[in-house]
Amino acid sequence: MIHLIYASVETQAFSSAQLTELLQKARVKNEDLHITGMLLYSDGNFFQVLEGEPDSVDGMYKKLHLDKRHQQLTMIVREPIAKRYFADWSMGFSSVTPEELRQVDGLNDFFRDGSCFVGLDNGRAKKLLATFAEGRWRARLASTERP
Amino acid sequence: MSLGMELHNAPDPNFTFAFQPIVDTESREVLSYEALIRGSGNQPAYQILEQVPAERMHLFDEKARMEAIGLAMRLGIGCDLNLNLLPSSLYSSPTAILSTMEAANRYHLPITRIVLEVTEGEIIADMTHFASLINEYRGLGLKVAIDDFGAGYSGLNLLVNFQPDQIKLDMFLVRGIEAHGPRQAIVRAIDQACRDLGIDVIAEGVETIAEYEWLANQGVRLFQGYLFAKPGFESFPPIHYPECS
Ligand SMILES: Cc1cc2nc3c(=O)[nH]c(=O)nc-3n(C[C@H](O)[C@H](O)[C@H](O)COP(=O)(O)O)c2cc1C
Repeated sequence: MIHLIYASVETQAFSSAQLTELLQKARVKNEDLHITGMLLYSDGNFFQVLEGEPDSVDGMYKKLHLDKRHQQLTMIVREPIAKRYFADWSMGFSSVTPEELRQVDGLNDFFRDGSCFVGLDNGRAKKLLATFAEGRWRARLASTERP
Repeated sequence: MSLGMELHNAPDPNFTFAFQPIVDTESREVLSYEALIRGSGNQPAYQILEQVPAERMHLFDEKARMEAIGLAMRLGIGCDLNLNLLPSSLYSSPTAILSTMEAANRYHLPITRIVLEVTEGEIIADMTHFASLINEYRGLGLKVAIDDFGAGYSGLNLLVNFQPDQIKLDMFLVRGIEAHGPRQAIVRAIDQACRDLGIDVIAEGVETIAEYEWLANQGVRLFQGYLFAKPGFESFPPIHYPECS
């Protein structure tokens, strides 16, 4: 089993209805493929963890490249894992503003009950999530964050 | 065949271990203990290793890890255990890591608590080969650290095809860092790359408050060195957390 973690940028602004639709379809398909993981959306930036058998995950990542709704796919890590971090989630989802991400409290909210991040141990997925929250891997920065 | 038997039967020098903690100075918790080979009278590692014939080294390496697990468990280890691995044993012996995992099972140490340390210099020659072999075991939960990071000529290149769980900054980079621009620039770059990739950075061989303060200000929070604790002979030594000025 592996996980693949990548970041990308939307091509056109997603409405929440469009995000919901994307997720619904993704979850059905992921269940078929035994893919679990989580998707984070923040101000046009995506951060996604895909977990599963190498064939399924690599196949999905290939397909994601064909999806015109996002671009600049950047693979951050692809490596073997001993267990799923998001075992209960065909695709956990969270949409947060950059301000929420920047605040430590905002990140703590992820780890509240009912969120896919509860019980996430201190492995690569959690560390990279924290990194994304700090603004790394977000190709598109909010105007207030530009140096 | 008989050669193998002779090797197995040859007497090994008497050895045991000292344990040195890797501490998180923010949470003030011990992340791990590294098992360091010592003679039964606390002789330094090199005096033991020089008694081991080259052709027996990988077997010795394997045996040492099993013994270290046994001793750490008898001492009641409650955190990770860093064990050294000669990458050459990985290439020459199919049991190099299996025997470590078996020992872990026998002593009820979860596999996920084991961190295998390999030095940068030993793996750059054949990074792809090393990565493919070690990745099989990472899939079972073993963690990997690259020791002496920044000592060789490869440095950050190493992270292109393989992202370990930890890197240990070479002491040479740490020594006098508070007053040395090039060292600071290099450590900053390593730290940034590791952060971006979710790799823990451990500063090794930290000996002075000034070195510690510079690194802590940079955001490094994992340390191993005399300033915090000396290796404890067959024991887990007391830890001292320095105060920043
Ligand atoms: C950021 C982002 C993440 C996505 N994640 C998934 C996913 O986890 N699973 C999935 O099946 N589709 C996901 N999709 C949608 C796929 O790109 C694709 O549209 C979907 O699999 C439908 O494929 P189909 O047209 O072959 O049915 C994602 C799309 C985007 C833009």
